Amino acid sequence: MKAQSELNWVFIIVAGAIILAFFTGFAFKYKDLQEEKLSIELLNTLDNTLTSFKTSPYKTFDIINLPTTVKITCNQIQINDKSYQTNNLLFSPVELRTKLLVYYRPFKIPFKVADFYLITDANKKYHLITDSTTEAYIVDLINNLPDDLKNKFSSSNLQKNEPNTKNIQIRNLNNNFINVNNQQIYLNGDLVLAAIFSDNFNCMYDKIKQEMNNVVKVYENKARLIHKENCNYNSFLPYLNDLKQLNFNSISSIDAINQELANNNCPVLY
Amino acid sequence: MKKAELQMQESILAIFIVTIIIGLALFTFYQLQLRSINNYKLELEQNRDLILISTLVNKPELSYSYLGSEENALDTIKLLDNNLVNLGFKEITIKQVYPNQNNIQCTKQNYPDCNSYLIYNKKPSKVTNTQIISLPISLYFPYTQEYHAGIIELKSYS
Repeated sequence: MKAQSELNWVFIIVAGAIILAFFTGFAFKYKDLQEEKLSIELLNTLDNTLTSFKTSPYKTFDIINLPTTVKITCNQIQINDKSYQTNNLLFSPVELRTKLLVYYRPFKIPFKVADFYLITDANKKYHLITDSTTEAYIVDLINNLPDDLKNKFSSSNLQKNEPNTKNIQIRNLNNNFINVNNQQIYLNGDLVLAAIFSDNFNCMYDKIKQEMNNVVKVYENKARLIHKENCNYNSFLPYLNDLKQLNFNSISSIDAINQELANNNCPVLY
Repeated sequence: MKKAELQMQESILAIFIVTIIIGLALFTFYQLQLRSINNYKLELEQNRDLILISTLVNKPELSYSYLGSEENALDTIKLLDNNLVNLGFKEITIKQVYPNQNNIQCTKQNYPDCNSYLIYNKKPSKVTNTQIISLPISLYFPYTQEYHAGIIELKSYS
């Protein structure tokens, strides 16, 4: 009889443990599910918000509050362990907290090639280490930023060691080229800002090249297809080819040909 | 003693049955949650498609600009040969609706005597569901320098 009673207790303990494990397991699984759902909701909302900037033909600045930490890499936005593929060109630090400051700028050389998103967070600061060739250019570039971004920047010819401050070397401005953190880039305000804001600029630069190739190909096709009496579009082709090689010196020539077409009442290329 | 033992066994059985009922309820609740997540996923995809179709007009590969400033219209010459990629399993068509034109798909050879442009087409091997969204747009014809009315239609396959 005593053995029977002991068997009952063993049964109660085992059954209790199984029931407890079942409920605990369910609670954890449900928590994971809700967290995953929240991450996906946030990622989707963030990407959609950024994408909707594209409808604006102008430079646009906005502040987005973040409920959690967001990681931005070259092709992905990541929240917790959930990542979301994005085609947007996001120039930003890898990790962003609390508040996102987003500055949207259409990238034009001279026609629109891509949409640039310069992103930073409320705590981040930037110190630009300039030399005599870049000082005036950088002061002018910073002065043209929205006020909320402008006060994040400082510049001098010395490094600054402060927490949350990113030091960026900007040197050797000559022949339309400038050196940003040892990378030689064409002297264009959008590109220079992109290099300053991005922690992944090498990868982003490849994406810009890709976008540039796609758009230039479209304009090459248009220049080949379009024909009208007294309007010459073939003269665009060598300059467009230069653009594909990221030789931006041809911008002024492309602009001049396009303007001439408009003056002659011909359909413009862009 | 025997009666007490019987009562104990009855209690264990009752707890066991109640636990199974609660377990089934939780399982049903979990399944409903999964279903609502699938519905949410569908809603997100629809939103994404809507955003895609509304921003396509601003894509430099398709949009018309005059001396660099965006004109909120699609350049029909660009539609003949564009480089749209990485949009997933979709079909995007643009049709001229006014003035009425012959119902012919545009190519480099028959342009501008045609009325529809297939600008992106990628179908999965097996289509289970197709969502269709359309928006009115403005089409620009560089030769005549005229704007015509059109619609852009996006078919999303899953």
